[in-house]
Amino acid sequence: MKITAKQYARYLYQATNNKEKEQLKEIIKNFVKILKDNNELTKINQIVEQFIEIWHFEKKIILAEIVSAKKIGMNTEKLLKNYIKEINKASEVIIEKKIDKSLLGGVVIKYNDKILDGSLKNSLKELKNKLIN
Amino acid sequence: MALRTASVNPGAGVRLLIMENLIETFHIDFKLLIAQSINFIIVFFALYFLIFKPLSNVMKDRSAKIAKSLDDAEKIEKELIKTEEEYKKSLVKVKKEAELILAKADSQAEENKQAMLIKAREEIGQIINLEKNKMLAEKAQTLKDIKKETADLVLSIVEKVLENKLNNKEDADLIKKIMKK
Repeated sequence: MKITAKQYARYLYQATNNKEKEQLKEIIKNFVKILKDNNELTKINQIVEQFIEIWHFEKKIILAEIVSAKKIGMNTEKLLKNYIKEINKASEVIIEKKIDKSLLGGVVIKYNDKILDGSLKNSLKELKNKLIN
Repeated sequence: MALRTASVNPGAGVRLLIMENLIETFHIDFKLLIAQSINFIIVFFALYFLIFKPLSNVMKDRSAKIAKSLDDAEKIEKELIKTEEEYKKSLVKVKKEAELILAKADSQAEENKQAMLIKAREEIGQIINLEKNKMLAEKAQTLKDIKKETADLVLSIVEKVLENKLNNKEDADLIKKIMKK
């Protein structure tokens, strides 16, 4: 039976969870050896992606993309992180910031499969729809 | 002999005398008379069988033919009268039938006319409704277009204003407000 990248990633997560740095090195070495023995080193990139996903899910870490029209200050960033943390009951939020001037103002938050659109562009769009209908 | 007869019966003798006188007066010759009588009889029979009888037959035939022709003519006349009566009867009947057919055709034509009128009215109603709906739809669409144009105009102005007027602080305040919602 063939082992999928997700199964390898799950195995790696279980093996590395709550382990010390020294132990981790040995575990990873063994894991790579297993991959080599199984002739599945080509799956390594997929396994790493799946591992990160599992890691984030298990540790309740959220990777969020924040798109704004203007540069966001530290205070606002902190507020946004707390906001995402609160609504998802996450332990940690990692933010990736992007600038899109067409948003005019406000912010768009993207994480997992969700999009929270709080931009002025979207507000104006909604206003336009209300005016037309 | 005459004198003897006269001596027996005086009346008969007178008559005999008279006869003798007459015969002498008219020069009657009995032999000749008998011969002529025979001749007459022969001629009579000859004429009778050769001319009179065939002629009589021809006449009879002709009479029968004429009578038959007359009968036929009468019959034909009767037939003609009968035919004429029948023709008149038929004519009346045909007239009645024709009147009936005409009446029926008139009634049918009237029915068709009414049906066509109803259909035409319905079609006109449908067309009016269709046009009405079309006009309403066009009106709604025009209104929508106007609204869209107006909204686009207003929003483009708002966008321009926001682009130039919104600073970082205001943006941060906006983000805070959004999060509070």
